[in-house]
Amino acid sequence: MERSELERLVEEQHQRSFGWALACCGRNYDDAEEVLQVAYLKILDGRARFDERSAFKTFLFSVIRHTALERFRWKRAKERFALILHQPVPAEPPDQAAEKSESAAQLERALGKIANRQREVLELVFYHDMTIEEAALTLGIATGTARVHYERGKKQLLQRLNEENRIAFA
Amino acid sequence: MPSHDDDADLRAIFGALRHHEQSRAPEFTIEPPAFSRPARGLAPRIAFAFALILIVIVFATTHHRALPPAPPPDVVANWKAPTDFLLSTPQIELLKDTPRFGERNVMR
Repeated sequence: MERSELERLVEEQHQRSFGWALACCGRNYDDAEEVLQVAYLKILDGRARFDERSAFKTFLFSVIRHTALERFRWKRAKERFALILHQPVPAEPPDQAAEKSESAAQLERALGKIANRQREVLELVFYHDMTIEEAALTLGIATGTARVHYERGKKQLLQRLNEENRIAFA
Repeated sequence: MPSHDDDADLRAIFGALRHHEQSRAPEFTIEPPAFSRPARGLAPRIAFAFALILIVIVFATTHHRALPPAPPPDVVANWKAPTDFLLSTPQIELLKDTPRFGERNVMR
């Protein structure tokens, strides 16, 4: 596929990709932006190749997820190295939770309390309107496994949201 | 057991989060961010350090081999044991030299 065509496809999905990058980076805006840039470069340079066996969105989200994992590992290694050298690790910028609506903030807190895989499946299904099959492809897991994560995650999330509501109305 | 109402509620809450986050998405640009090139500053330094260590090792090894063996100090070379005179016996030169046929009559 031509670079210009890939660029067009990437640009088309940019806003959705940013949402997914945020989910993969613990809703840190700076990290999400960086991850997105690296993922785009990987695709345009041909380091991540789109074989057209799945939808472009699925492929793009999968690259973003892998890049975020790499970023997380690199960050962790950097923090360990800084600890060895007794250098202070720069603090993360404060998140933008204060600007969000209450329900979005509650959802974000509740998502932070459930297992990673469950959270990923739920985000792909409810936030990105993917089917469970598409979510499974993005995460590189079996559809059956994704379905189990979906059911358990939904149950967990509803429970956490109820707790959040109780705290809010207490 | 989660119902379809729950699904609708979840979609609505996720929708609010999506609306908030995606409206804050940065402009679409493609430029390499800082974290994709962490090794740029570090890699040359590591390579330089390795090269330096290698040069030192090679120099030390070859230099050590090229040196001639140090001559023994004079004190050691000229040292004689206090009982050395006991070895000065008649015909001592026979023990020091290699005899050659026809030059000297040993029995004389």
